[in-house]
Amino acid sequence: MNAGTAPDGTPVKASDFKSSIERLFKINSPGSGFYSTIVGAEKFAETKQGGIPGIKADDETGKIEIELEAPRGTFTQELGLLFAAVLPSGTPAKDLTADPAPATGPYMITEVERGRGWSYARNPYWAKANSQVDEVPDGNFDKIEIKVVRNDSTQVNEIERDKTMWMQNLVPADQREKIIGKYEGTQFRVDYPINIYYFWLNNEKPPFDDVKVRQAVNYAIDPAALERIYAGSLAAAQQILPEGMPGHEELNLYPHDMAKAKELLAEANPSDRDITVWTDNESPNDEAGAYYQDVLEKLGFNAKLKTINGDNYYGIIGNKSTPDLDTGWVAFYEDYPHPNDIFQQLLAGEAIAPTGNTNLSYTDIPALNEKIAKLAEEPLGSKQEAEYAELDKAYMEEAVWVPYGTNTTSTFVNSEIDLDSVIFNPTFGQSLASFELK
Amino acid sequence: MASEPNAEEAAPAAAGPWRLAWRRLRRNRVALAFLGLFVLIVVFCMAAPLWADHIAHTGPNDTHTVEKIEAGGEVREVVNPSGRPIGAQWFEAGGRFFLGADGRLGRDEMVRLMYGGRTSLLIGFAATLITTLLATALGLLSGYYRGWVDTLIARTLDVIWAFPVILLSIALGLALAVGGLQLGPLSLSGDSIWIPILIIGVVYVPYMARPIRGEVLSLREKEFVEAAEAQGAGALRVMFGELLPNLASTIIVFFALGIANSMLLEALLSFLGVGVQPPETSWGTMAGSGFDLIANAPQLSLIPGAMILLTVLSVNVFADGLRDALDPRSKLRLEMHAGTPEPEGTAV
Repeated sequence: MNAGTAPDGTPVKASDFKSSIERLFKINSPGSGFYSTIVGAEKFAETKQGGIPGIKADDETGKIEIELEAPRGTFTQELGLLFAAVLPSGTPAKDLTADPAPATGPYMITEVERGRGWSYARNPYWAKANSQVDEVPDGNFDKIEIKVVRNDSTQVNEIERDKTMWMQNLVPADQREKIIGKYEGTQFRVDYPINIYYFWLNNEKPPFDDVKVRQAVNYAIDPAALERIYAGSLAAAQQILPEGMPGHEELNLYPHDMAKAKELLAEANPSDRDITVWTDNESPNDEAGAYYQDVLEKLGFNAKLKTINGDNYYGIIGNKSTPDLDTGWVAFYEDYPHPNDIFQQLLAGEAIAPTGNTNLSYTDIPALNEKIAKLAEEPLGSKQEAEYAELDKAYMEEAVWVPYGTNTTSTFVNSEIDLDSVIFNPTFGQSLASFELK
Repeated sequence: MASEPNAEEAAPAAAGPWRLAWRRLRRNRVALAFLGLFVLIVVFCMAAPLWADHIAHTGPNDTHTVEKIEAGGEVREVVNPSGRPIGAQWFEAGGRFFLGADGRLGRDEMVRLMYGGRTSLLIGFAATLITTLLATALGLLSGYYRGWVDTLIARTLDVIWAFPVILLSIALGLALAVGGLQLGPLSLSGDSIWIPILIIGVVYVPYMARPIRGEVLSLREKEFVEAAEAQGAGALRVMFGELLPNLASTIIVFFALGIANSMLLEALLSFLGVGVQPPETSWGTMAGSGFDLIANAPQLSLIPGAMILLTVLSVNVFADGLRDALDPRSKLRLEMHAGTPEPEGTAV
């Protein structure tokens, strides 16, 4: 391990990695699940005592050995997640938003105003300690100030007036056409993160415990309508694995056909037709929810729309005790480019949890669970990719969700920034260290 | 020789207070004009099903995102691929999309405006009715009994009064939007229209109860109350048989003004997403959702905003005229209108 030097001048030690992973379990981080297959991690998660014996770190040689309970083909990707970022040993196991821990990147956080913004300055030890890390740019600004602006239109306005250099949020849907026409190629660029937008269907409860009903809903949804609702930023797709994800092979099992949908529903003739449709209140997801509710009504359901504040949305729909969790909107952005990231978290039976549930459709198909588990142990190659494509098809034949598309994102900068310099990573987004003045 | 007129001809029958009030109101042309405007708005909203069924051929929540319509001899998309909604078609498409589509869902703006008005008016009336009933009952009890009853009611209402109306309403709206309301046998889901009605109805109670209590304090010292009590009338009979009729003019004026206030508060709550829940519509929700498209389609916010303005203005002007007509010498302090407590005096 050669991880450089933190901004306080402390060299990073191999044992810092061990304590950083243990800290994830101490604070019950949502990312701790990625490391639960390390020997002793599950026990440590319960007791929070005695450390994780499956991680052995030698500070003298810098060597780290990690022992897993079972082979895990995705583990190297999981080590690359921000959850595994190395922190100094002894970093308090609590929320450090107001007083961030030091890290080893080209920039360090110097000031935080909770809810209002934060500032970065150069890490004085970066160049010296990381001269061999070519993949990460050194950064071109001495100071970077991040300001929290809740209104997307205000962000656009500030960029157009050169008051802000970049906005992280998507440009508002109603301004997208204008901004593309005016700034594409000079200040605006469409980027392609790997994600999937879908409506989950609760496979456990009527009426969506019947595959014919689920298939009917898939036929009833018109992806072309959703493309318009997302103002052209969404590319229609009707499958689990989005484009760009290894294993993606285009599928279109349910071309929009309302007559076929009604026919299937008539065959199924569900006795329970009262449905609650959940969505968050952020545009255009709220409109996607309203569209979906209208489609279900037209199909013959008595659908009620429940719109929840975006800040609490995932907590509420991920809690099994929330009543009327029938169906709703959700978007998933990859943690790392591996199909297991989607299947394991969103569809494997073992992912069903009473709180913080990510398998919102409560899908639990034993044969497919086994296939997910088997593929998870293998390194990703062309054979495994083909098997993941089959898995995608198998789940779509069961119509466990109603996937409707993958969304693009955008880089929108002001007139001072060289758009071509901005590096976009499909997992982590724009790299602030890559920004350059023209 | 001129004959003496008889007594009946010389002294025509004295007009009652309601007839006098009506005469005064008839002379107030401005108030009557705004009453006419208000009636027109109500008729417009009540006609929503007729317009939706026979002209627009769509419901308020029906989406038309990928549909095309024939208008002015050409085929037009209701929403273009970039998500821009069609503008006002007037009668070019036979009345369909008369005011255009409401956004990327392609719902008929005119139909939603009419149905939204029904919701806004319903909330305005129902919430004000709740406020009036509660405030009248509490004001009567408090002013008539005084003593510990007065203190208990006053302190309870002080708790509500301690919070600014808007903040209290938003907090209640947020809390009830998810879990709904479970109060004994009363069970309301979070998306029920009765949630904003109850919130608005309750938060305004102190602002109406206080002046009513002041009136009761004054009236209960009058001779007619003493006479009723001397004849053996009980407390309920005095309150509801003697005091309440004398409060009628005050209550009517407050009721009229309360409608305007309730509609404004509903619009604000719905604009902020804690009032009427989608896909149901009100003028407030329309103004709020249209605000997202303000750059490309400002009419989506401006038209419902204008409807709110016209309705509130018409109710306010008419209520002012009504107050002048019912009690021209009245020095009523319309705290409810101002929305702030009196600097001095005992609050109910």
